[in-house]
Order: sequence, then structure tokens, then C-alpha cells
Amino acid sequence: MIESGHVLNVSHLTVDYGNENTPALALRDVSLSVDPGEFVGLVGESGSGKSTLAYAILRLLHGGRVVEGSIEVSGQNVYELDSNHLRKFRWETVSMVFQGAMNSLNPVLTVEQHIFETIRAHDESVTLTALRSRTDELLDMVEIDKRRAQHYPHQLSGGMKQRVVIALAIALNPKLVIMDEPTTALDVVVQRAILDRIGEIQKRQRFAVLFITHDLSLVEQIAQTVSIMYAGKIVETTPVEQLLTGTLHHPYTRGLLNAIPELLEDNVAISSIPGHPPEITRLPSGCAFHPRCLYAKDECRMSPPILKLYAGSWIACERLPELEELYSDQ
Amino acid sequence: MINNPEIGTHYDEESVLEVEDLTVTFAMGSPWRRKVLVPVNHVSFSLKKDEALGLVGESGSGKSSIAKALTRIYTPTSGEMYFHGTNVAFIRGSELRKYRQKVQMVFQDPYSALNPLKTVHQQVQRPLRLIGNTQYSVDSLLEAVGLSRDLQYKLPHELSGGQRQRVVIARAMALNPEIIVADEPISMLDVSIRASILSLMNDLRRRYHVGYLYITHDLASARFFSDRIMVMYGGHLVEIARSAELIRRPFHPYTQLLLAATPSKRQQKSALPQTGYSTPNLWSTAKGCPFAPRCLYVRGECTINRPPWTWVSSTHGVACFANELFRQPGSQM
Ligand SMILES: Nc1ncnc2c1ncn2[C@@H]1O[C@H](COP(=O)(O)OP(=O)(O)OP(=O)(O)O)[C@@H](O)[C@H]1O
Ligand SMILES: Nc1ncnc2c1ncn2[C@@H]1O[C@H](COP(=O)(O)OP(=O)(O)OP(=O)(O)O)[C@@H](O)[C@H]1O
Ligand SMILES: [Mg+2]
Ligand SMILES: [Mg+2]
Repeated sequence: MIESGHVLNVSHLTVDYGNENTPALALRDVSLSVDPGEFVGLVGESGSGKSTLAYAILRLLHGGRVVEGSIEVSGQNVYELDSNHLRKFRWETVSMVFQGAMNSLNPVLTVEQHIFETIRAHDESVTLTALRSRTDELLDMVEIDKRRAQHYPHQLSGGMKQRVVIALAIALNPKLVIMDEPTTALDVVVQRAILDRIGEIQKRQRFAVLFITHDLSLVEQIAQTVSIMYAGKIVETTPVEQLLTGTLHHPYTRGLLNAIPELLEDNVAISSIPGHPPEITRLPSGCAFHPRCLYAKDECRMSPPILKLYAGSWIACERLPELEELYSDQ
Repeated sequence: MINNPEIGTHYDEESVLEVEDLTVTFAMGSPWRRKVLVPVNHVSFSLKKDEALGLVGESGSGKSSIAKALTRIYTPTSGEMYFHGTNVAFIRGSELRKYRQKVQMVFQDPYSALNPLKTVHQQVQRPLRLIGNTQYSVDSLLEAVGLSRDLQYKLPHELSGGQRQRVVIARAMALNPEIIVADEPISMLDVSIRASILSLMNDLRRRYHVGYLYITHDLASARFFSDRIMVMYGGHLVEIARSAELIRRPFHPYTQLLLAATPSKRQQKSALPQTGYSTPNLWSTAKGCPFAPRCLYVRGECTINRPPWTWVSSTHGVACFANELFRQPGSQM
């Protein structure tokens, strides 16, 4: 097996939730890679397929099938692992903070017991002393007071529960941690504190992060690379600096960026993208974004555009070469 | 693209709602070991005619509790709420029904707010009939909230989140309210449609002269939508000012923290101005300023006494002992 150098390499992945008669393609030809220690943001609106991608990586799809493409983690094809290796692979190589996980902590287990169980499930011979010291270490990393170790979930605030869930995800030193909307229910101050913490631990432990969110302004602060997903397709992958400096972007990315209000400017404006995302059983022809796109032309309704490298970003737009001019005309 | 409405046109007008010393408490624990939680702790403010007043604050700071007291879902523990001069804090029966119709609430979750078995048309028609409202029709309301007529025979599950929230707003408008209390009306919606809901609310405000209490933990949307913003922390009202002023010159250390944590294109990411993170103590036994444990400017009295309220200017007030944060150079206060 050849090491590709990436921790994660998803190539041309298509996932179908439908049946023979009506396909429901939640992911269409998705390619994405994550390097060791890298922080990648995956951003998209509700229903764009973000969680589906996360489940596909862990081989946890329910009711969905991979109909094309492959997923490699550390050079190993995930869909070729036997059940023994798959168990080890989940959690030890790749772990996940599931969407809404902080609400699914076991109400009858203390913080400490959650951590113990997670570690024991993968290493039955671990000693109590080792468990205790690892628990201390983990709580320290996520900045939870050690006295909280004996507390039950209902005694913790939302922000604390979220930190516990993150501690569980990194308990076994995985190479890749997938976080699906880990801070959505929290307010900005708590969100920021948790993000800062994740960034610090990640640098120290050198694992890679695939961070899923619908909030572009959140990943701007922490990711190195950001991929934008629309209706099951990645429409743009760009280094984070390019988002901040405002170079050329996909019309959808541009819409998302404009939807972030500028707090400090005298004249505050927020704009939205008219319309709403399509249903996956009734995808528009060609580029799925065309019905909402200000720049759509006939050719956009014909064939789906492929990602092309332009000024440092990968962008899937039929009108790519003209975009610069189109934007400046406004 | 829509711009911030003119700010500061409402101050001379009469207030529609005048809230004084509002306190909401919840008794917890068993009767012999009673503990009392105080999510709204002696809060005073007023809402002017067709004003949009923003209410921001950390999760659990008591924002929804204020909303529910104003709409009389909760009965306040003490305090006064004057609606056109009448104290509505403890009214009951038909008086209460009349008041509730004038002050409508729009909740965060457009998914659970609608009856799943009724069409859009039915949901909007019911309140119209209920009060015999002849001023509007279902058609005119759907048009006002920007929903196409083909949607009127659809059921809630056939609508997107943004469309549902429009139905919820249309339904509230059908009762001809003077005030809409909107509790995080956009936080469950995708970013790309949030602005359209806010501009819809803004539009209704201008056309039908409804006032808003707009609750959010997102300072940016509060600034965009509101004339003034109030900031709550741990059940206390800690600051109030005109929106632009609050963003430009935040006085209270919590407001400064909130501002520093709000993502912004121009701001460089920097360390948050706080001593550490903790949740505020809402028990009735708590003393002093609820923000003291996290505050960079904390001093002895902060943990003993309730900080005094200071009107730094006629429209900008703050509850804080650290008056070096807001004293004008050279002036005596
Ligand atoms: N088990 C399933 N069976 C059928 N369709 C599904 C299933 N899970 C997801 N889908 C559909 O696949 C699409 C992508 O869903 P997914 O949950 O991946 O989106 P998401 O980007 O994570 O959205 P959100 O931001 O709301 O979490 C949606 O149209 C959804 O309805
Ligand atoms: N009916 C109730 N019974 C007991 N406690 C309550 C009740 N309603 C609210 N509380 C408590 O009051 C406090 C303030 O809650 P509230 O919902 O008003 O906060 P909030 O500012 O709206 O928070 P969020 O931003 O998370 O919605 C919380 O500690 C909450 O647990
Ligand atoms: Mg999801
Ligand atoms: Mg609330």
C-alpha cells in the first residue's frame, strides 16, 4: 500500500439515499483531502450533504450507498477494512464529534465514566491509574475543572458538555478528528473559547481536523483550508487567506461571504441569497446553483461544471474566467 | 441589499411599553430545601412606538424569560409592565387575552411552531377569524411576508425553514399586534436566508408600525435590525445604548467581551478580554455583579454590591463599578 501523504483522501465519492426509481444523490463526485495536522473547514447550508460525508468516511451510512468513488485514510481504503480493523480504525485512527452529541451524553454516567468507557472499549488491559491520569490530562486539555469529573451531564452547561464530547473524541490520540457542527447551539463567546482550545490541542497533538459547519465566519478564524459544499457537490476549495482577502470566489461562496454582516462599518448591511437549496431528488440540471445564481447563462443549465484551479482556489463554475469582470460590473 | 434604518427617530415619542423593576424567579428543589433561580433580576427598560429594541446576552442570561414575561406566558414575580399606561404585569381573564393579542411572540424554531396538519392558508386564516380582522386577508398577509400564493395549500413539512418562519410571522401579523417579541427568529435558519427574514420584519415595522423586541445572541444582526440594543448578563441588564453607539463604544466589560468574540471581516483574531470562562450564578443568594468572576476590571465592591446604573449620556446607560471605562476625560460624574 502506498502512503499518499494525506490523512484523508476522498475521491470522486457519490452517495445515494434513493432507490432504483428515484435516486437521491446526497453527495455527487466529491473529492477532498486532508493533510496530517491540517485543519479543514467544510461549509454548507442545511441538507448540502456535510453529515453524509462524515458518515461515509466512518462507514456509518444508514440507508445510503456509496455508488462511486473511494475513501482512503492514511493510505488505507476504508471500504476494504475487515470488521476487526474497522473497529480499531473508528476512534483510534479517525474519531468523530457527532452533530448534537452534547445532548446524547449518557445521563447516568459521570464525566469520568464517559472517558473511562471510551478508553476501555479499545484497551481492556488499561490500569485504573493510567485511566485516571489520562482523564486528568484530557480534562486539562479541554479546560474543565477536575472537580467536574464526578459530575453528571445535567450538572454541566452546554459549553462544558461540548468540551467533554471533544475530550472523548481525542481520548485515543486519533490522526483525524471529524467535528460535525460542534458549537452550533452555543453563543459566540463560548464558541470562540472552544475553537481556541481545539486549535491549541490540535497543534500540540498534531491530529488533523475536518470541521463541519454552516457558519463560514466560524471556520475563517481557525481553518487552513475551506471547502464549500452546495447540493452534494464541492463548489470551491480555497486557502482561508483567500476568503479573508476577498479574491475571486464561486458565486455561492460570495453570497455566503456577503451574508456575514460587517459589525464595525458605519453602514451595516446584510445580504442574502434569494431562493433556497434544491431537494436532492429534484436537482436542477447542470450546475445545481444556477436557479439562484445571478450570473447563470444557458451553458450553466447544461452540464455540471468541474473544479478548476484559478488564482489559488479550486472553483467549479462554468463562467469562471469571466467572473472577475462580472463581479466588477456591479 | 438593505441598509440599517434611520436610527434615533423614536426617542421623543411616547413609549408603548414601560418595564420597571421586572423580576422573574423560579423556585427549584424540594419545598423544604427551596432554592430560587432569578433569570430576570430587577430589569427596567421601555419600548417606544414602532421601535426595534435588540436584546443580546449569553446563553442562559434570561433573554427568553424576559420575552415570556412580556408576552405573559410567565407571570412576573414582581415589577411593573405598563402597556399604554396600564400595568399588565398581573392582569387576568379577558384583559389578558386582549393584551396577548397585541403582543405577539415569534419563536426560534419555525419547525415546531406550526400545526403540522394544517395548510398555510388555514394557519393564517384562523387568527384572522378569531379577532374578526377585516383589515387583512390571507392573501394580503402572505404577500406581505413574501410567500407566493402557490404555497398556501401546502403543509408545513413541505416548506423550507425560511418559508415556515414567514408563515409564523404572517400568523402573528394576522392578530394586528403592536409589538412582536421575536426570540431568535433567524438562528435556526441558514445564513443565506437570514437577511431576508430580518428585512421582512423591518418592512412590516415600517408599513404597519409594529414595534419589536428582537432577541438574539448575535450582536451583528442586533445591530443591523435594532435602533437600540440592551445587553443582559446573568439576569441583569448591564448596558443599553443606540445600536451604533453600543458597537462603537461598549462600556460594560461583558459587552466588550461579546464584541471581541463576534466574527468580523476587519477584526484580527485576538485573545478574549476575560479572566476565564464560567457560567453566571443565577441563584437568589448571589451577590454583587454576576460578571465579576470573569471580569478584567473586577474590584472589591463588585462581589458585594449590585453595580449602580449610570446614564453616561441620555441614551447610553451601564451598570458597572469600573467607571474609568466610561468617564469622559475631564468631566465629573
Ligand atoms: N438516512 C437518510 N435517508 C434518506 N435521505 C437522507 C438520509 N440522511 C440524509 N438524507 C438526505 O441527504 C441530504 C444531505 O443530508 P445531510 O444530513 O448530509 O446534510 P447536512 O449538510 O449535514 O445538513 P445539516 O446542516 O442540516 O446537518 C439531505 O437532502 C437529506 O434529506
Ligand atoms: N420554566 C423554567 N423553570 C425553571 N428554570 C427556568 C425556566 N425557564 C428558564 N429557566 C432558567 O432561567 C435561566 C435563563 O433562561 P433563559 O431561557 O431565559 O435564557 P436565554 O438568555 O434565553 O438563553 P438562550 O440564549 O440559551 O436561549 C436558565 O438558567 C434557565 O434554566
Ligand atoms: Mg448535518
Ligand atoms: Mg432563549
